Amino acid sequence: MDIERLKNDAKLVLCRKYYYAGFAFLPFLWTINAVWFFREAFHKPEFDEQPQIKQYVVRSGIGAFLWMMIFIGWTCVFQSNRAAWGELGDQLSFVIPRGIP
Amino acid sequence: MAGILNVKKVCWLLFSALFLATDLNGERITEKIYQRIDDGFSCFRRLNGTHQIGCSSSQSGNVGVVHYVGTKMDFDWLLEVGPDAPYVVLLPPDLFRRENLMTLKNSGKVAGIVVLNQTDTTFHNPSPAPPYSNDLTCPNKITGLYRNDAFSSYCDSNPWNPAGDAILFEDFQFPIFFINETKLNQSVLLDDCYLKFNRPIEGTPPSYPLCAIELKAFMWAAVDTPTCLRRGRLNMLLNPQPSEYCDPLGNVNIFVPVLAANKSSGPIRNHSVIFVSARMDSASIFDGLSVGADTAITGMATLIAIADMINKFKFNITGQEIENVFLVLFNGEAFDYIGSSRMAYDMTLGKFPKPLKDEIPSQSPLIGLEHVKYWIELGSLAPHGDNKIYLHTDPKSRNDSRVNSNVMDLINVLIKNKGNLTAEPVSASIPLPPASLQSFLKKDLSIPGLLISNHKGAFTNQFYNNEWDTIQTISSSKLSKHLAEVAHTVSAAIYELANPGDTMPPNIVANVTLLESTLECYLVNANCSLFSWLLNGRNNIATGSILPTYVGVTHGDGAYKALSLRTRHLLAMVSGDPLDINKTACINSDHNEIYHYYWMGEYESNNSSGTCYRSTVKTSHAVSPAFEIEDYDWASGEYSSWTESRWETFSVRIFLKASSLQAVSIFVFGVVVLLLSFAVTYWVETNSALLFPPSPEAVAC
Repeated sequence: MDIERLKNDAKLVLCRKYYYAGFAFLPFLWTINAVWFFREAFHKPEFDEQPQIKQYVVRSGIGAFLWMMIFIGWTCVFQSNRAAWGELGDQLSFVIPRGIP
Repeated sequence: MAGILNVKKVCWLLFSALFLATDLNGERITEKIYQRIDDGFSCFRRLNGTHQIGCSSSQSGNVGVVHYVGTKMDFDWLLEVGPDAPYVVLLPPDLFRRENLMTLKNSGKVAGIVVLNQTDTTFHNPSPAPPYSNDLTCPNKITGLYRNDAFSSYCDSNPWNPAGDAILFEDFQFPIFFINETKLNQSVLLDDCYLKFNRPIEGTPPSYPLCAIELKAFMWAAVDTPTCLRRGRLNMLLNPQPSEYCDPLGNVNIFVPVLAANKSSGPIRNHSVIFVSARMDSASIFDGLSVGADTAITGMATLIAIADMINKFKFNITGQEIENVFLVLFNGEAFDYIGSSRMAYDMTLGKFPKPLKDEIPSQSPLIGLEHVKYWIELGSLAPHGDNKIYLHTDPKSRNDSRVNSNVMDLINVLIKNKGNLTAEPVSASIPLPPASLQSFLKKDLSIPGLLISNHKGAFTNQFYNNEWDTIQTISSSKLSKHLAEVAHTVSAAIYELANPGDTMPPNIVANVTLLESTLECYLVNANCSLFSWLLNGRNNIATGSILPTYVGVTHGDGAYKALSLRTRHLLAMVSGDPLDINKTACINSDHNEIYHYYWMGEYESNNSSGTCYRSTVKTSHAVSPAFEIEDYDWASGEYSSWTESRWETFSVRIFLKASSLQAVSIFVFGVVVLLLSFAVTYWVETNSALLFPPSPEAVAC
């Protein structure tokens, strides 16, 4: 969908929907929201709904960033400890590696 | 237009000529780069309750520059100079010893080892200087009878297997292969690879290109048995391509109740069954190289000869003294008594030979440990210069005076029937050597039993559980005659125990021909006429090959594995009754839990028509009870916990390796060409109008 064709109020509705839907543990939705509406929020000439869109974009961006930190943190913890955790490590794995502890 | 066509034609011709000139054929590039080497036997990974042992390569295979180590100097050069690490070391069998392996392992310069066995034209090679064993100095100690008591220290000071270097139980992070090459053909690895490209001349490292070898033996399992079993279980749940990571070691025990008994005639009396047992397996580091000539086959062949003799007097076993004789071949004994511990376990649970079921009318009565009257085990029996046999007993059980007097009776009756042999009882205070009997005494110390073997103290077998335990090391003119005498002694003793005061009729003698054919089939050539006879000509084994006695893993029914199948048929033949019925009737007979019917001897090249044998031969699972018990404590050491890792393939191939400078420069050159082609394409694209002026003629077309 090309948001350029939407009216400004429809843009706000869409951006808000994405923002709230992101709370359902959907960080990718926030990421998309932040990227997709970035131009609307910061580069377009001012329009009435822009401050609100800006707010949603910033919050979505922060949310997505936090999630990314959590993901990276967990991946590091998991990868460095999987072997040491033994049974728990195997149970948390989808593809269990062959030939290594 | 015509001009352009001509140019195209000329181009095609030129290209075709170019291809034809450069040997246009369908050979793949991999085949031009690599040369495969077959006839290799690989080391692989096994796991127990707490450790992993054996070898594994990386997933894509280990690559190293080939270096032959024949002398101490070669070793020093490799460790101190050797600039082209990682190396794959070629070792002659005589240097494949613990100290060398550990030096190589700890040097960090080695990516793999190839034991290069250069044979003469007859594929025979003098074995390395004895003694040489890869097992422990006290084999199977941790699961044995004496693991927790004062006798356990006996073996530490008087090891049964002093030559044991425990390499079998070492964990190597690189692959090890055993490769046979005949000296007749020019050796690929030594001549074409090492001497041509890699030999340092007066200590100066060779220059590139160097001959490298890739060894692939990637093992799926890791850590220990509980880990790999758990991973297999989880993997089966989630993975779209489910597969196990390891399998429990296991096969079948093969046993013959000499007399067919039915449960309908009631349970049998306590202390009324004589057991004669031997083991049928051995081990080595390499997959497919475990002949176990003296470790297993001498005892097993003797047991088969005994089965043949007892069959001739089985109807003299009247039931007054003893009700039955069981002849048992245990499997997996090399790995902490798998077969015997399972049989003892089944006996205590009332599941031997089979759990009784009301709906099955033809079943043997249950046999438990309390039914055992005597236990005679046959160990290694190859004669070593004399005709002595030694009778080992267990001091723990002989503390009990009833057991002690029974053991003394057994010893006396054996000595009385010793014939030309010298039978010497080993001191009653010395514990049993590694023996299946230990598994049964562990459950019940009231079993009077002994082990007959060819050693008093340390093993006389210099190659215990080693790939060199072959016919060459035990071969002697006396071998089959000696085993026949042991068979005669044991059979005569059993006759006398069954009929006190009577002696075995002199017309019952050990069948030396049978013993010789058995030894030939198991130790020299499995494509032998005896095996072909047993399997109606469908033996399907390459001439000169020998079936490995390694227990293997529990895929499918172990009773149909090559060695078990043949041994079962052999026992069915020697202990069965030939019936006068035709093939159809034989195959369609009522196969039940007491009798099985075997159609054998229909052998085309022999023009013989075949015979039906009714036999009481049975098999039972030889899989450790550890895999049956829920929530088994893997660290306990109560039962064998050995598993074997799965793997996809073993492969060995050699190729020429360029120096890293050359490799990098070719890569950089490739990248430059790529970038250049981008630039040219871009330039052509932007200037296309210049190069291809719009042609009115083309538009007209």
